[in-house]
Amino acid sequence: MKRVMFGNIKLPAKIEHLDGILQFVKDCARDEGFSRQRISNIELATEEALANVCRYAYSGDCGDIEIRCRTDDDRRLIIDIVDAGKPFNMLTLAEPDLTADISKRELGGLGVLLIRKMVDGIQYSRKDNKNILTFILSNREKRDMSHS
Amino acid sequence: MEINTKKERDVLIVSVNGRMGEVTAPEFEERMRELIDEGETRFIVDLEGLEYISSAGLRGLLSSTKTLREKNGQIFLSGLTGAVKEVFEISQFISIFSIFESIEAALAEM
Repeated sequence: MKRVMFGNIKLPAKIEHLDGILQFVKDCARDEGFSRQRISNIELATEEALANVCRYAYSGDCGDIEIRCRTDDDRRLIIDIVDAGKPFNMLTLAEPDLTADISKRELGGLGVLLIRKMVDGIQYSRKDNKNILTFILSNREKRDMSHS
Repeated sequence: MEINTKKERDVLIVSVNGRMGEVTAPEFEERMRELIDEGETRFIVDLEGLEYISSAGLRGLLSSTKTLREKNGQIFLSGLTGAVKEVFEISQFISIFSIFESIEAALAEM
């Protein structure tokens, strides 16, 4: 039977805890033998999602962020990013206008664009009054890295 | 993140090393604001020593550039590699900034 890894961490959704959470996710990926490049991709996708939760989920109130890491039978890393803040599905955000001039360039939606390019799969669900954003990542480098 | 500055002719070279993410990007923005307030208008931001950038880092670069434009300043970037270059490509920031292979190449165009 294939080995399945589990781990989770729960901390207040504050920017000052971000590095600690990212370290936990990177350690999970490293333990599973992910390449340096894929670990960097995982870190970027996770930071973008965490930053969103820290900024918007609790509208200034205190709340937690929980990260659950596990592997599936195909040794893919599955990362759940869970918060109990207001319902928010970042996958519904419009793609940013990447052709806008520098003076008009806005950054909304850039985080989710980067996430989509880094992970192999992404899902959102709202369960028990919680937002659950799930990343699915294989150890293979994503070929389609450029924006198309 | 480590930020070093060096003056070459009337151009300020700002070298950013390490990571530019959610936690560290405000530090970069603050430093740039100080330098602009001190009257600097011509910048080369060298990212050769940068290992990691997220959208927060891009936001920091963009906001500094917008501030500088209001003062008719100029900003060139140099030394993008690996994961940093990839993020610039995905976000198409590669087409909105003037980007050079090296500090020397950027200086030659200043």
